[in-house]
Amino acid sequence: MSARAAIGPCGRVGLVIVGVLVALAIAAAVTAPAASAAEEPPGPVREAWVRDVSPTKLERGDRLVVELEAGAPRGPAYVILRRPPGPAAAAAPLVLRAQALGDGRVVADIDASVEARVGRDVRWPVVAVEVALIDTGHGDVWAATGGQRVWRGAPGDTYELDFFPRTVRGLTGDVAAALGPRAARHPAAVTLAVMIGVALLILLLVAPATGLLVVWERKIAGRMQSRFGPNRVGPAGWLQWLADALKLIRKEDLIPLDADPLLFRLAPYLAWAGIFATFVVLPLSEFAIVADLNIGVLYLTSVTTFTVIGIVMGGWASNSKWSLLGGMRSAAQIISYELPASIALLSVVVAAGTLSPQAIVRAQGGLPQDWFVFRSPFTFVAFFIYFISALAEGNRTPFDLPEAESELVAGFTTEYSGFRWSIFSLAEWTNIYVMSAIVATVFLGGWNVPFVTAEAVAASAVWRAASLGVMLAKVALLSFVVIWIRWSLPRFRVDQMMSLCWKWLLPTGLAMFMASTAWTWVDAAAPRLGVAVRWATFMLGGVGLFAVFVRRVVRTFRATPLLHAGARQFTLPLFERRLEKR
Amino acid sequence: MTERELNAGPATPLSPRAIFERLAASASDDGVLTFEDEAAGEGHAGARDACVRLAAAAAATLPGVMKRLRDDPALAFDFLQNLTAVDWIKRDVIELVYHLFSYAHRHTIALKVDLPRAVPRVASLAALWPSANWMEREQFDLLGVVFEGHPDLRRLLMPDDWAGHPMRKDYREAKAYRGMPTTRPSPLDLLQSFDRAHATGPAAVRETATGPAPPSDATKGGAGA
Amino acid sequence: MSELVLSLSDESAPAGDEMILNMGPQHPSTHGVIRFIVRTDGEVMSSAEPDVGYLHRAIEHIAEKCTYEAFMPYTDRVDYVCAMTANHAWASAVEKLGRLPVPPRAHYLRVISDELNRISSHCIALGAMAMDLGAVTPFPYALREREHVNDLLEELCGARLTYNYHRVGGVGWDLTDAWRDKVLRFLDHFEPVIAEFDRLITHNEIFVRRLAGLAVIGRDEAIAHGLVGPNLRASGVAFDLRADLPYATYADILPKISWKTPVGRGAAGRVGDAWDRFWLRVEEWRWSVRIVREALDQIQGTPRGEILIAPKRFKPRGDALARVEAARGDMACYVVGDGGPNAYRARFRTGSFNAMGLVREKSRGLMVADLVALIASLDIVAPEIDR
Repeated sequence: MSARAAIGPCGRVGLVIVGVLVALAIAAAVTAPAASAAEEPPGPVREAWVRDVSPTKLERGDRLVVELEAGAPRGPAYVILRRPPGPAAAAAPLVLRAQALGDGRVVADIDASVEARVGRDVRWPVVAVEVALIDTGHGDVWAATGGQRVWRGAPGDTYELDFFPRTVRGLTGDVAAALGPRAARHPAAVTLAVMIGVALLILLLVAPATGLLVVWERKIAGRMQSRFGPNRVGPAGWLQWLADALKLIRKEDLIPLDADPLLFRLAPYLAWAGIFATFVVLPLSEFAIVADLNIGVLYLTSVTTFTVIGIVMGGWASNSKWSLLGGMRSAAQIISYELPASIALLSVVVAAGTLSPQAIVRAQGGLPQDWFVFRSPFTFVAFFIYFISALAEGNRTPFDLPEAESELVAGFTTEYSGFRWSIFSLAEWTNIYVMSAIVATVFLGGWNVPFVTAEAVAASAVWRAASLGVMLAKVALLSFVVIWIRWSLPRFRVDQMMSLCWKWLLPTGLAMFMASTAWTWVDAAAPRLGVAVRWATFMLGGVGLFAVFVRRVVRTFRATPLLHAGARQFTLPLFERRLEKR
Repeated sequence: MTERELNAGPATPLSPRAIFERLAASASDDGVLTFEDEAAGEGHAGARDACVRLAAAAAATLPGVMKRLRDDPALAFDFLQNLTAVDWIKRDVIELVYHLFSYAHRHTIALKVDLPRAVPRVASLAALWPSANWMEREQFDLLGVVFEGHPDLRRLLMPDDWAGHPMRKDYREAKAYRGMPTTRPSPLDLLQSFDRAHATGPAAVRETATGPAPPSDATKGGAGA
Repeated sequence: MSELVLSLSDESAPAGDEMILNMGPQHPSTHGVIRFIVRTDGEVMSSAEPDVGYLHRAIEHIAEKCTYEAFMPYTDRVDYVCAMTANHAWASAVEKLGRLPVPPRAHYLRVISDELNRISSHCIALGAMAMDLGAVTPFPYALREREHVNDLLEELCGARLTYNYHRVGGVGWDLTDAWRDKVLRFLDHFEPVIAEFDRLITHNEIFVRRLAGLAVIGRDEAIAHGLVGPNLRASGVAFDLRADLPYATYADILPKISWKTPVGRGAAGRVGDAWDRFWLRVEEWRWSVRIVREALDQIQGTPRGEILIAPKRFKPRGDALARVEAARGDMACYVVGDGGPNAYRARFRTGSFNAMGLVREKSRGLMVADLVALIASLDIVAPEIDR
């Protein structure tokens, strides 16, 4: 088959779009006005700029390294961190004692004294960095020295510094400090204990939430099928998950005779670990994130691959042809759909300029038009590509071939029963939360509260709690959509699923990624055009699609009669009483 | 009133006698084919559908006859709709009854041929009508008719290692199949022996009560209001 | 027991990378206890050999052991999904054998009960087919409607599945005015539900893609392999026993509703593909509703209560073949009498039996998921095959 036929029409159209945008970007760059001439520093140190500052996340024990453009001093130096004057920022700059190493680098230690002066978990978004060789205490070093022996950042060159962000490492340090000097001598043990503690906490919070999701899914499915879901165990059936979990734990531990003893037992835990490990970087609110890794998105896509290993292992180790077939199908599916999923996420990463989840959220706003999904038509398409690929990665209908009951009995979980099966099941349903959370974070504005800026959220406890509520509401809504899709659609066949991925989603995703990259240049060069396109995408894509959807729902409701005149057309699938008391 | 699929020319359904005449005329096998007309007995004495009978001695010509039935454009029997083997144990024959139908002309014919009961062999028609494949397998399975030339003559409904042909009139089931007994005690006998063993059963109760209420009459055919 | 697996006609050693999979007899989607021995290379099958007989209950043999009238409940089990038509086949064959008269009201009742049962049988067929393809929701939708039909038939004859309603010489119970009103109300409710079902699944993009062009059975192939009923009509042959060889009172009813035999048109892919077979059964739903309405109208012209002319001392000699249009196609019943009170030989040739004979050929080159779709589209039920 020729490459052209293999790419598919979407890919070809995408390439045309990319070509056009690249041309636009080049035109914008060429015609953009030259950078305004900065106020030239007088004196002989014109070229002495600060080139780079790293790391931008400063934890206790880190060393702040400032690289200089020219001149390689040696000896004691001072690193001055200035924030722009404003109502929130204190006027006094932060001066750190540093050491110039003689190779163009100046190194400052971040230690407890810095923490005392700055505080824990503080973010300085706009910091100008200077290096001086004499200590003036404070004030304008430049003016005081007549420009001698001072390195400045280039005009407009600012850095975003995070001081002592909340991380496991920081938490470890706190715990070690609290436990006293003996604990401080065994940092590895303390770290291990903290990590296990955090993992247990995640498990304790997430597993019941997953159970609730399972019950909710059954209720939604029931309502879609003109029946009730579980409504007996607990208030309106909401403890059904607990009854099921207890029953599954008590079931007999069955292992097929010829199954591989180690791998059969190990497989569910690998699948489960892949999903639960993602909770470390999910920003559930402004404060509720375990570790705001600055490679967060990369971490997400790579750690979910553990699931594939678990599934294939489970399928093979069961020593059953049905399981093997299911495991192979699932491996092919998940690995294939990793690509469009990652590419779609990258489209947004490029627009945001960072892989860190919190940073991505902060780059958006609370109102829909500020979300990344409407930032440009390319991220809009990327949203759908990611959503579809996430469904496929989670083995959800219409991509649930690996567990297609009607064909493979139960696919790779055929030989699993009881507690082991419940681990697989837990992994699968938790994945719904994970995929919803990722979509909400990257595309739908995350925990941003409408009409409130991110800084205001950070400042107030009320808004921080609200941000948790906003994020949970978005996750719930997206989970509902995932469940809704499952119970409405038939499933794809394996070749249709593969061709959808490789011939349609992947070329389109690549095109969207390149277009989004090009669009970042255009947006920076012509911001008014960027705003116009943003609003156009929002009106057409967001408001327009929603209007079409609402109209269709209303029409369907009107066209569907009810057998009993007294029945209600629509009820919330949340609270159903028992039909009669037993 | 309805759409008609036409094979060759207009649909002209023929009566069974006309079908027989055309069939007999198309080849020179006189005496081999006879026509048995429809007969209606008096009252409930029963009736018989019209059929064409192939003489038992000429059973080997069956494929040729069938081919003519299928290929003659005026007959055009494209659907072998039924194949039944009937075990006439008193006459010592197994009678094969073929029912054919033509979608083109919308007419039906039945063709019967007797086979000796001891060695019921006849040519297979699976090459003419693929629908014969499974039907012949089933009659082989249940009555033991061997269809020569069948591509895959195995048992169909019974297990592959079953002994005997269950629809034959002299079939007696073996006492056990692969170690599983094929008889069990009658449930009524079991119940009665249980009752006798435990005297508080219904027999004892009946003596003390005033007597059971008569069963309610559930009449049928009278529910019209 | 492992030797039982290898009941294959061709040599059973798998070639190369082939895998032998056993699908059934217990399987969520073989529509009854049927077993397939599937040889696959990865996802693509090289053959799927059906192994039937798990539901063989020797019904034809039992017919020789009880009288013609007493055999009626057994005919329910020949196809328990659409038992009314099986009753009808047996009653027609015995009546033809004995040239027995049947009152016209009984014919109308037979038509009404047959068509209602056809509606509920197609509910199962279509719902189960959608569920086999992964769309679980249409199945409860269809079952909800089937419950209404079951309630109606229970009120008519006392049973929800195996009705034993028809008799040799008529039917068992007459209808009441209240029941007639209930049926009409059900029909009014059901028609928009068909449209809703269409919106939900019949024209769903994924569903169509799964079925379009799948297992195309051409016209000549369908006739030669003995496909009947909706399978045959979906392949383009406009033949329906009710219209072309009318029995009961169809000759009076069908002209009044402007009957036009629904035929597969290949709207999604090609004529005779699996989607056509699905769509055709939805069309049959629509036609059955119209037939029942018309029959309920025409039955009022017949005298109440005259629903059965029971033969006495019925010992016919002869043979007779009767065909009725069951939900799965033309069911032929051939009965031979030798002058005794029992039948000498009874034979049921059912639509699923012939369709099953086709599966092995059609399954070459399909994928395992398609095999499930193929069986479901042919609406194969185990009791019809094995009897």
